[in-house]
Amino acid sequence: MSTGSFNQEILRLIEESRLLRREISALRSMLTEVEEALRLLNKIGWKRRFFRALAGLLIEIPPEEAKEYLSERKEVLETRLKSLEERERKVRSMLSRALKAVPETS
Amino acid sequence: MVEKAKEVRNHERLLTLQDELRSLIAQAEYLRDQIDAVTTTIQDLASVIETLSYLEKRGEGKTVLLPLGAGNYIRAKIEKVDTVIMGVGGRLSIEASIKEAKDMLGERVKVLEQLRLDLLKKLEEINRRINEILPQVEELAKQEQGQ
Repeated sequence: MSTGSFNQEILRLIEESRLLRREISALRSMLTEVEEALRLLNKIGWKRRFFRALAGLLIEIPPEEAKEYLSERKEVLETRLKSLEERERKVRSMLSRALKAVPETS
Repeated sequence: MVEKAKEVRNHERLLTLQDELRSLIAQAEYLRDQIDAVTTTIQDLASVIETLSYLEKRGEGKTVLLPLGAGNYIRAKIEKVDTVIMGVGGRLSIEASIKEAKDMLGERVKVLEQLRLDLLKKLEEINRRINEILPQVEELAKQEQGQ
């Protein structure tokens, strides 16, 4: 591979790594929010009226549905986060290999 | 020879300190943004607590103007003031008594105030380090220019 294509590849990996970092940070913040909501509701109790925000509306839902909704959302966010973190590890290792390879070719 | 080695060492030290300075300035800017965001949230929460306290005492039956968007309002009457719908995160809201809502919001304010203090302490440490290395960078740069 020429130095030019190596540089292109490195820039692509740096950009991907940056985007992944941003997405991971946003997901972590959403996950913290859901975990905080679960912690709060476990503390104050689930026997109350719940409303879910959908397209600008607040729709009343039963407590069981609220519990299910938060647990599912937590699970989805955790799975997505795990997969992105895995991808980030791969990208970082690819980037590190690419950076090591540059001096050999130039 | 000895003089040359000293020059190289000074130059390397200058580069290291400049790097550290750049990183510290970036960290300080980031912390300032975070502190501003936390302060704004605390002010918002305090304003909601104040509004809830007012509504609890004098809100029942009062006429309010409900925003429709683009500066347009419609008159509405407050029917009940014993409960409020509050967001708990994760796109979910709950109905809570005004006292409960005020307690929960007060709790959030306490947590955020502690966070703000921690961030301010970190910022102070960073500023102290900046003030420590800035004169060194200036001195080394001056020496380099003189050579």
